[in-house]
Amino acid sequence: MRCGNVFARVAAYLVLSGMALVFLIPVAMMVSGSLKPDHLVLPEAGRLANVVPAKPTLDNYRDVFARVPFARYMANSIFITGTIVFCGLLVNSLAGYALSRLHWRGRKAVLTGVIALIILPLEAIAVPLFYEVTLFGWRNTYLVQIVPFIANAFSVYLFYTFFLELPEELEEAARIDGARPMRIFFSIVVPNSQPVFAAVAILTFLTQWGSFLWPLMVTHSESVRPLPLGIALFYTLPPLQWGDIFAFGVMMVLPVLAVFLLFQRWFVQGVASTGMKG
Amino acid sequence: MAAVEFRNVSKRFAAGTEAVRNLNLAIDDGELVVLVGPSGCGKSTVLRLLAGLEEPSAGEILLDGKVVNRISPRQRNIAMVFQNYALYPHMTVRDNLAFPLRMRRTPRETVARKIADIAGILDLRELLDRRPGQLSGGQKQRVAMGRALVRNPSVFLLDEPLSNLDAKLRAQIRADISSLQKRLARTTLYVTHDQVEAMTLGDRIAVMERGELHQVGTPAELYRRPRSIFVARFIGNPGMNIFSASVLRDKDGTWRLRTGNWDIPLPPEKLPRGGSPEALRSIRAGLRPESFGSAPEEGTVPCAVRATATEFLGHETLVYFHIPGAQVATPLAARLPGHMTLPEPAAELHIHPSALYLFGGDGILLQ
Amino acid sequence: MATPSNRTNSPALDGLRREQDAPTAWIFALPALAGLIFFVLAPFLLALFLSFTNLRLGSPLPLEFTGLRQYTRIFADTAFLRALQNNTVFALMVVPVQTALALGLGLLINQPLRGMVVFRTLFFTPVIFPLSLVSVIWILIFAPGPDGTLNSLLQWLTLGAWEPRDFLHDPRLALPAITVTSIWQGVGFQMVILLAALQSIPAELYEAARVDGARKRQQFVHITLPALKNPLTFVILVTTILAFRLFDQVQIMTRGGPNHATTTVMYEAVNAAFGSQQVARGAAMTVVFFTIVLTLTLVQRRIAGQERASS
Repeated sequence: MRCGNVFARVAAYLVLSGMALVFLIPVAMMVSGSLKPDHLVLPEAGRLANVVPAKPTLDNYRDVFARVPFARYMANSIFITGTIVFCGLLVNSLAGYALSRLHWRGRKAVLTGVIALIILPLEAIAVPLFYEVTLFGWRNTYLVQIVPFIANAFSVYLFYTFFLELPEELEEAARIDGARPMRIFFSIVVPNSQPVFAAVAILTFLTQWGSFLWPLMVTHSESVRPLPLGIALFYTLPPLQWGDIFAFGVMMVLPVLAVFLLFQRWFVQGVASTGMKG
Repeated sequence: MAAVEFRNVSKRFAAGTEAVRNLNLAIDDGELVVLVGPSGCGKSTVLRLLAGLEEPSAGEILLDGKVVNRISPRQRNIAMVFQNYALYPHMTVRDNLAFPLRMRRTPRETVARKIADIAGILDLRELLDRRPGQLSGGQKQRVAMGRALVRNPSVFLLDEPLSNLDAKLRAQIRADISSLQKRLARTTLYVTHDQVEAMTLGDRIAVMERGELHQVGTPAELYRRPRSIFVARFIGNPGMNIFSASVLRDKDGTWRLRTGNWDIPLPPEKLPRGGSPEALRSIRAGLRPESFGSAPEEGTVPCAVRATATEFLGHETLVYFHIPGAQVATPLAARLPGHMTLPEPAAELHIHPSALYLFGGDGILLQ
Repeated sequence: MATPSNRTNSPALDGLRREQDAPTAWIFALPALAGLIFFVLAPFLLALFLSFTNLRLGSPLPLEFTGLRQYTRIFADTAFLRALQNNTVFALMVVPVQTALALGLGLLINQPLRGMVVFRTLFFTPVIFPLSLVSVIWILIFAPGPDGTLNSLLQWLTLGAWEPRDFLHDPRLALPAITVTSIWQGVGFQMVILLAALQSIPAELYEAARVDGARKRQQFVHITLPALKNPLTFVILVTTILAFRLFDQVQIMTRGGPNHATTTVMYEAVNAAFGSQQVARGAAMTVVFFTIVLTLTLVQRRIAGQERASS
């Protein structure tokens, strides 16, 4: 679409800017609320002019640390999500490679099975899984929040389709050079598959970072709780102090936002690639 | 004992296509055999079968007399240069060269020494720390050859190595490959679709079409005695002219070739042995473009032609013409030295009858 | 290379490869397979099994097979039926609005203007906010009384005609409120997918159309929309499935109320299994949920398949 038309250009900018402002209101409220004294947050929520706090204060941030183990929540989230992402990359890429490049009896059956499992979201199996992990005795641990999510049918599928499209020549050259499949995978295929590893890492991260339902079901002590659960519980913890809650929110989102802004091209590419596969 | 041997090798793919049909081919130690044919003829499949990247559906592949059908590529001691070079893009040239040696757990000093040797032979010394992405086509080609040579393989496979290079570079590297192969005396199977490469590089040439081997022989053999119309047309540029003709016996006993208004007496040695007169009435005759002359010489026969186009190439002229009275769809070609213009519409070209080839209805040369 | 490699198509003809590869392949695939079997397949089969029992954690009753009783019970339960209705209504609200919005934003951003990347980043930002955080923020926005952000905004827009409402406790406004929240968080994700699809349409197609005399609208109908068919169906399917997975916002903002106005299938299921320990009942609900999702997926694949066949 060519916009030699100045009017059309200005209109586009206006519309986009307008929408962007509307979109950013909740974010702005969160940030400004975190810097206001608690009793001012709700009354001032009504007017746009109040977005800029009259007397910005960091009290709320201090309060958060005093009232809840925020650092613990953050550490938990980082540990849990990080482990899921890292182990998931390893486990799912190996499976995707075996399905796409190796010849073995049962390959087709396994592939069909994996694809069939893609449509099972966590919610469909949360209840029986809850029962299952209770039987294992895994309730209220890190284990229960990590292990069930390492293997992921969709990730396997993403790796599978990506490896299918890799030109086979590099792997054939490596075979002739004398390399075995394990070596071919780690030395040749992985270094040349950065896009899919980035995409899967980011998608897994996005899904797991905000995980709420599962930790809610299976944890009951603060030592293993992740951030999303933390803020929900914080919200229900009397007294209801909005400033504190928003300070919690800002601290919760800031690291992720920073990472996102740094690597946003990867984020966007990763998300977009799911649509291409769909 | 041949270094490489294909015995009744066939390869059928899942889709049902038979890429290679009953191939019998032997390559001697130190020989460079060029496997040539149009795309889809199965030559790349033959190469991959030898490399162990594909398994034959039938037949046996032997290396040094040993059947290797069930032996994996890494144990076959062969090396391959891929059409797109297949250099590991994330490794430096040095690491690319080192990779096959490291796979065989070669000690580090040996690796360094071999890399230095190869880099010297192929002039890669300044490139060792670069990545494939920073190399030109010709440089990548040399690195690919280096990676193949560094292991000292017993058989060297090349898959259309020159097809990704521009014309000038192609000629130069063609010469390099030729001298390198002669110097190292390594058994080599070279695949290409370009008959010029085949003629210039090969000790012997194997011509394939649609999975079948038409003929194996030295360049001279293929040029002078093509066994089939396909080979006759494939070798040479332009290839041999093929046209329908009849061989008839005259009242006075001489055999004559007739097509259109042409009437050429056939010397006795040209006559096919044991051909029925009916069969001889409809054969296919062949004449190379080089065998036409613009002026009569000893033993030549004049033939009237109707020229349709002339191409002046500097050192020679290409004349396209029709045989008057004959129904030929495409014009024939003649190569005449120097700058020639033929009087139109009727002109005369001179042919020595011994330059004729006679092919049967099945396309095979009649002796 | 023009050679058809017999890679994954004909393992039958390549016995040697299969023998050689098999052990490695199983080693490679085993961890993921084990994980999927234990933590995805087994629970699913367990859900099916449990839904036909009367399992209740902590109950002294012995486990017995009850056939379809759980299902008849939940389909007679007003709360569950309301949940099904809510999910459907929610889907019918979210899918068109969010998709249209994502497409609109994508079209606007897909122009060779400066700063478009900034806008893309801005609209994608909510995606990285966990839903629980999003819920908490929007509770404030939906705050009742004239000081609530949305209330005061609407008052300003309607020049005072708007009466402040308690959105989250109003049976008619609670579900729409949650809809707005979900759209805010999710539109960026779909927008990025559609934007990538838009950007992959070669400019030459539009140029050729212009030369052929097509106007903007015709270009949109004949070039843009066909190229978007697959990503659009994908986006619609994913959004629909997500609509049936609705849980986080309900748990935090409304707890299913007021009077089941915002309860969802998952909310009911989690409450049944976790709240009142009726695992079998919860399992039955999740089976119903899965059946819905499966049907939707199959329908989408049928539609997408038809498109592919006809194009």
